[in-house]
Amino acid sequence: MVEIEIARQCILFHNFSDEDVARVLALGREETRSKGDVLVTQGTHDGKVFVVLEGMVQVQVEVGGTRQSLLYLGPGQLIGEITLVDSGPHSATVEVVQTPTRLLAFDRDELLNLCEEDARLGYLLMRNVAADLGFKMRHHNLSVV
Amino acid sequence: MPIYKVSYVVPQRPNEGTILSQRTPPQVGDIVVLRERRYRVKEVIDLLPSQGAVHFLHATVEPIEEEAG
Repeated sequence: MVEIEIARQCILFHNFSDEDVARVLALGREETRSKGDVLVTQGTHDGKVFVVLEGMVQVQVEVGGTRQSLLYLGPGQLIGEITLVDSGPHSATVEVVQTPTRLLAFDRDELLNLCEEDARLGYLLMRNVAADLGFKMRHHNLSVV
Repeated sequence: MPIYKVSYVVPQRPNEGTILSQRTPPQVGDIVVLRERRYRVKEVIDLLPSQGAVHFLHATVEPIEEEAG
């Protein structure tokens, strides 16, 4: 079981009580991956969501047959958050670039079920997901100048 | 314990940007290692107001290799 203090590095758990963190952590599985492992693939519908606990991943998008690196995500960062919001396919491919990379892996539908069961917790979780998306957007805007 | 969520950007190299959370804030002049590459921190700004123990920072960095070359 991942310690609550380590999980709190991730904005996903911002403003959560210890009990809230524990409820979400109970849905997750800890995984250790190696460089070159692909966590999610652009266009697929597997509904995987990850939190990086240690290590680094690269976010890549393929457009017109060309794959391009968008950014790197390290400890505390969320992967697959867009599919959590819109239930659509993954918008990018995410590849591990550092060994070891330790992750918390979630199933999107299990997280959504928890949000449905507990609207207060669901509101907090979705607000934090929105904040994570907002931070990534701000990062992107500053990256292109 | 404070958490610093940091957006690292390398000017003119948009695909080297990195987001990570760390326990101490980057400071101007620091050497940071991102994916085994060394960068010098040139600027640090608050990207958003802090929320409790969580701070949202943006750091502009430059590769050290370029300085030597």
